[in-house]
Amino acid sequence: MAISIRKFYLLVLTLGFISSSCTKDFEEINTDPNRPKEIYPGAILGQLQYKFVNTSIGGARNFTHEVMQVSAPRSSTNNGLHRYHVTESAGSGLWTNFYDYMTDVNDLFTISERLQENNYKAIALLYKSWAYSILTDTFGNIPYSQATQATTGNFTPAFDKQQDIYVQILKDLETANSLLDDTKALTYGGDLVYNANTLGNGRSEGILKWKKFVNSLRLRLLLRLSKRDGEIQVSEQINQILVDPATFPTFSSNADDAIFRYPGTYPFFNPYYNARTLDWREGTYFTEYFINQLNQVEDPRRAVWATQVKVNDANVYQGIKSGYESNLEYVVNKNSSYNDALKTLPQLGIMMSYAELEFIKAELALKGFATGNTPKGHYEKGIAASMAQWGVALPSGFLQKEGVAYEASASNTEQLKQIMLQKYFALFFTDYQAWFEKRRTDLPELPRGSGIPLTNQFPSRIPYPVYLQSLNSENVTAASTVMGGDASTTKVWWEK
Amino acid sequence: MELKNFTLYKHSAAIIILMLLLCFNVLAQTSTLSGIVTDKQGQPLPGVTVLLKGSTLGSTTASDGSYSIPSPRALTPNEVIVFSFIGFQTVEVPFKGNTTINIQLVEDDKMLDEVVVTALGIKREEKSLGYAAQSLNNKAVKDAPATNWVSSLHGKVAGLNLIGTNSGPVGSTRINLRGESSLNLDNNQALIVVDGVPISNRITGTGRGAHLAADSPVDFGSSVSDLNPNDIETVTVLKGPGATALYGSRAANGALIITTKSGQQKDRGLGITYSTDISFDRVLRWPDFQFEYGEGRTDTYFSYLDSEDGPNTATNVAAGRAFGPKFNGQMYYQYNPNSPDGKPTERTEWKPNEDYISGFFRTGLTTSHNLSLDGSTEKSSARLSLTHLKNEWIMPNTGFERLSASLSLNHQISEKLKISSRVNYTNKQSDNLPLSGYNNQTIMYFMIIGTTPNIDIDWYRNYWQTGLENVQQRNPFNPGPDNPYLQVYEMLNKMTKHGVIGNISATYDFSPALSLMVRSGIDLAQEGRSQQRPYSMTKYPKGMFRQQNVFNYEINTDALLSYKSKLTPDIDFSVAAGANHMTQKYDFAGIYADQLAMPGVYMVSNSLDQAVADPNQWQKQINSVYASSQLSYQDKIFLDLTGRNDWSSTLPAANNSFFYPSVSTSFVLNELMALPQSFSFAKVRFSWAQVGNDTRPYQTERYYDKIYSNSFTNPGTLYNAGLKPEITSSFETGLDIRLLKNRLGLDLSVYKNNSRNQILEIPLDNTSGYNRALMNAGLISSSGVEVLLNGKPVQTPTFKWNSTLTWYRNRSYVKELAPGIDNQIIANHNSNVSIEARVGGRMGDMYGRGFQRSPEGEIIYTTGGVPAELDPTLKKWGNAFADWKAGITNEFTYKNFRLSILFDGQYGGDVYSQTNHKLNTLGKTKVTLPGREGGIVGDGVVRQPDGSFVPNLTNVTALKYYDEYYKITNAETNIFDASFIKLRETRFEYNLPLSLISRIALKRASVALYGRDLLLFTKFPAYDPEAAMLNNGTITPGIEMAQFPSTRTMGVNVTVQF
Repeated sequence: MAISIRKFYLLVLTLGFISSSCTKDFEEINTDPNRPKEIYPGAILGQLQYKFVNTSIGGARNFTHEVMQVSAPRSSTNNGLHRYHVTESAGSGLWTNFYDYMTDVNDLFTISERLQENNYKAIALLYKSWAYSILTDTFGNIPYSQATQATTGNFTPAFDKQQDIYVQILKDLETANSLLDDTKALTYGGDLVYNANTLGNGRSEGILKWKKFVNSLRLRLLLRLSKRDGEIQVSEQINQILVDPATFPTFSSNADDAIFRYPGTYPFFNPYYNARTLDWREGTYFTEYFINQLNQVEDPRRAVWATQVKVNDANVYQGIKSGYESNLEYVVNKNSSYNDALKTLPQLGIMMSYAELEFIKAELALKGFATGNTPKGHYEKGIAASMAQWGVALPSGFLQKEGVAYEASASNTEQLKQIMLQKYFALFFTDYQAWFEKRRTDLPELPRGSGIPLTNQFPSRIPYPVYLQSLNSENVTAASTVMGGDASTTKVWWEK
Repeated sequence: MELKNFTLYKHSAAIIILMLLLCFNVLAQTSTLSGIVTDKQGQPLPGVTVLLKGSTLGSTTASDGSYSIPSPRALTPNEVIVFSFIGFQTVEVPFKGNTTINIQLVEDDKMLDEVVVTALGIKREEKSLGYAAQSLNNKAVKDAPATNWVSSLHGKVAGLNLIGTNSGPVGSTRINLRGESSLNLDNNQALIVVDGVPISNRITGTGRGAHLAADSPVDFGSSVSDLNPNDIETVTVLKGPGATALYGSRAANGALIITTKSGQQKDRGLGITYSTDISFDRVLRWPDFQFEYGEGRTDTYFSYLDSEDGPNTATNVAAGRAFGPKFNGQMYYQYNPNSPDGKPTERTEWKPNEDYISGFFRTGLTTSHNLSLDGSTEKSSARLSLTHLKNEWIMPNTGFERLSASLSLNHQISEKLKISSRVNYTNKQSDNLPLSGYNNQTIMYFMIIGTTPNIDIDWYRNYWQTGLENVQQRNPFNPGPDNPYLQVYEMLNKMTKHGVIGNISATYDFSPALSLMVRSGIDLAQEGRSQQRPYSMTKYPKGMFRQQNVFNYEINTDALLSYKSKLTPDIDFSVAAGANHMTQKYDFAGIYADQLAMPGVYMVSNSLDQAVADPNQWQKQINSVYASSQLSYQDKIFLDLTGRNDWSSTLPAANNSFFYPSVSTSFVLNELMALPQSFSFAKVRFSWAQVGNDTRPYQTERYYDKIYSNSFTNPGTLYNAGLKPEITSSFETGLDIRLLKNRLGLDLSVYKNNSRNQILEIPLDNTSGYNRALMNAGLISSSGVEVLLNGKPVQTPTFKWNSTLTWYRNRSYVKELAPGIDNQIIANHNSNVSIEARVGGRMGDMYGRGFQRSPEGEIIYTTGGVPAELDPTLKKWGNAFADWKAGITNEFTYKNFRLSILFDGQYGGDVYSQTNHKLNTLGKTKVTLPGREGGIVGDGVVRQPDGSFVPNLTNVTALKYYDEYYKITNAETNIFDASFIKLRETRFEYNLPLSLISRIALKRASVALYGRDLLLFTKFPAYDPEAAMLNNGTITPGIEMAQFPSTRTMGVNVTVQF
């Protein structure tokens, strides 16, 4: 028995030794063979461009179009955006997605900084500025300076004031402009917007286009801050860009459009390519307001955007009311809806168009800035650019048609009305821009539907997503208080 | 110690037989058999059954223990006489010609000394266990076989909660013991161990969610569901960590210990058994469909395409709704099956097709053939078994085939060395497994939203548009869901799986006291899959073809050293120490062509775009050392101690070693104290245990996720370099009482488990850059009661009635979550309903929105007459887990007949029914009939501008009312009580008399009729309250996402043994 016990202990010791000595491989075993720990900028950029634009055009389709009376639901028994009822969830997709992407934007910036790749760095700054401007214009005060710092332990970022955010955005865009160097292509590729991945004749066309996008975006934002000139040097910055196009180039043709052109091959499909008919066009129709104005001038963009319906054996474009009474329900497929061709249209991925820039310049010219052209000149270029952007020819005589022809002799207010109406059409599918512009200028003048309850007002922002109440309540409460409440009617800083 | 007892009994049995043999003289011609039966003390035993085996010839002993059997015929040598009496061991005596057979019966405490296979394959006497262990024999999984044998455990084990998915022919099941201890649903399954080696119950998902994802999940099954029930000898359920501490990490939720059959040593020679099962499946139950109103949103007319009656009501967004006109035999322009575009040329009669849904389903057929050979020599035993199973499921062109081969070998090489090996090989193959869930390309989605009572399912049979075969599907009505026949004949999900579960082991006895066992086992599977989708599908306009190769294995190697001895004459002592090395490896290689260049050509090479690779590999290792010791005092008091230390590769180096102990004890009360005579046995047991758990690989460092196949992105979850192991501690006590010579038995367990330091993903404000962070946090506390009651109300020589009742109740409460977090979402159906862990709440609590109500509790309506926007505050509407579950088995044996009936059911538990929600909003069910004529004034109030309430008086159409009332976001109206009772199993068996079959050299022959799930009693409105959602590879309880109908199975079994 004694022998047995000794044997037993000896064997136990051997077993114990064998098994505890095997942990030295653990680090290797616990290293993921499929996912890298370090990546290069090219691997982030393309996917980021794709995701960003999918979210932004989704916002156009789901929010802006309904609020701005481009389209309206077929039936709506309760509330609805078209009756100016804005829920907390209306902006949660934008909020969640854009902030999700921001971690990648940060990485793009820091990795390119480490690799001394200024062009990537500038593009990171551009995306950051573009995305945060949309976020702050939608919500007002938002997490900015403390955002995306979870890795350093900050799980509850404080919110920044819109004014402070704009100061930094404008600064970042200026930095981006100076960083962009068109003698270099993007070393690690990945650019799906301007394909600035290669050099041609020692220059990168693409990088130049990024530069144009940076400055065009800066003009968009500066114009948005018109009312706050003085608090921020708005006019001065506009002039800085306008007088020195060599340093601050802006879009000069449709070739410069900041559009993610969906290649239609895996994986970068137009996000609507397999949308169900039910979701795509059987529940939503264009409004009378939108479609009738296009009908009136026989705008050729109609054919790209809208389906036709048969009325008295004639194929026509026909819209429905927005803000209608809740007991109204439109019959299916008897009004124009989104054309199926849009589901696979490459140029649906709009971030900012040359057309928009021309309308910006038209307004600046009207305000007296030296844009190098008249308001009328910019206005007409804007319309032509939008036609080209949607792939239709500008019909001859279109610009002279009643309702289109620019009345240069009219009052500034009347001229602005014309500019803003055409800009509204040109902003079709451009994230929330038409809504932001409406809040800034109160244009175009939208009719008020008879089914909109008297107490409902045109929204000036989207309330914060509900989840913040449980995950970052102190900061969201503070931000609401600073702003004057978390209502959809609270005006953001630049709208005040 | 257990070995000692075992040999003792073997010896005593042998001695008795020897004695009997000596008593007999060879050959006799008398036809009357007589004798006296006594007990060990020589006291006569009255009431003993004496029976000529295989006949009805027999008698009972009188008060003096004497018996006599007059036989009408001469007994032939080697005919067997059986002496049986309750509480005594049954003795079989071969007739050797002597007409007087006196016999002594030995008391049967076998039941008390039943040997149970515990952790690591260690066999223990049941009475020595300090924790609950319930054993089931082969009958339990074979009486009414299911395609997934796990389903046969329903109602048979107290504490076992099986949740099926109704997700197809494979019938995957979530196996849970003693409630939900982890906030991660995938962590709550019991460990499955086959012949000492853990195997996987993981469903390798398709990467797709159940609700409107790009594609839908397929239930491909797991290693566990592929086990062949014919090869299972016993299933021992070790319910708590006390029983399973030695298995470490994965057994925190208990374990099912499966022992497969091996060659029988007792009757040497060759045994051949053949058995076949043929069973038929029909849909068990339909929702309460209405057949009174047809398609449309208006009851004024119906028109297929635009007609003189009005605009089209059949093929657009209005389609799929059954709020159209009443079937009164009127004439409408309806679909014309004889024209290519279906355009009607004349009016036809408006009438219902009552089989518009059921007509799609067929009678399922499952056939199974099993042949097994076994035999043994003095030193070896072997068993070989082959089973072929073919399933044609209730949906056309779906089903699978499974071939299982199993070999078991044991050989005593020398006096000291014994080797054994078991190998189970499975080949599973399917040409098409159905897509589950709610999606354009799932059958049940079509059945819910694609069709209405005026439609004939046959109109869908030609699923291609003429001239556009392979290019454009025909979808004559609602264009959303894909044509169901296109789905089953063209959208195929194929698989071929080769699986091996096996082990080899060697045991060396250094001395009678000291032995070493070394065992290595593997669960290995290679699975090839493909999914093909034709052109013109909603989700894949240009078709799709995907292939995956999934290879995974787990290898466990154990060395176990055991030593046993007597410390004093009264104290037995044994100790075992061992080490385990576990490696898991998973290798998933997918290649995807998500648009096809040519229609109908399903090859990766036909990819329109560059085909995309999707690799996923991981591996994990755990090294462990463990030790256990047992002390027993006079076989009356037992004490077990165990300890185990694990080193896991998945945890950070600083925290990767963790130790956990267990202690358990049992007291045999009837030997320790004087109990009333009626107590045959009484035992009380206590155990306390801790089990640690690790996590998935690669959680402790920052990695980038692949996205869109060619780029990388930050993951949504923040890694954690400081993770610690999870710890579950449990306390259990139990009572085991057997009364009246074992005719009544009660086994009662009470337990409490605390799981803390859980590795979970806490939600973050995503403006911080991440949506979730990995943390150690939380405390889940589970407690429960388990009852197992056995009774033998009638025991006569010819008629026996055995009855078993199982009942259990578990409550798992969320005590703590991460600091600052009081609510964690466990599962979510698009925010319509979520299963949330809230501090203070129960695991499985279901939250969602409900009606806005006035202070008096009445539903608030809008001035438009529909319920006002839902109350935005999430409220609890139910719980995904049952209040209690129970099962009752009654088995009657009369002569050669056996009838077994199992009812089981649950009380409480709730399910959110997507099926019912949608059927109601679309007017397909009878509950939507009231108000069809004349509209509905909803019962409730309307808020006045001054804040007061007045009754709602506004009349709205039925369509508008039900659409709003049952809308998807309304958890209040879409969550239902899932209480049910099922007639789960029945078997009626006839064993042919031995006298008959022995002539054709058969040892046993039986014919049986059986049924599974024959009856269902429930108020649940959809197909079956036993519902869950297969989401990717996770089975999510509490949410039913377009479940398939469940089936009623009837079958016949024939078994012959040579």
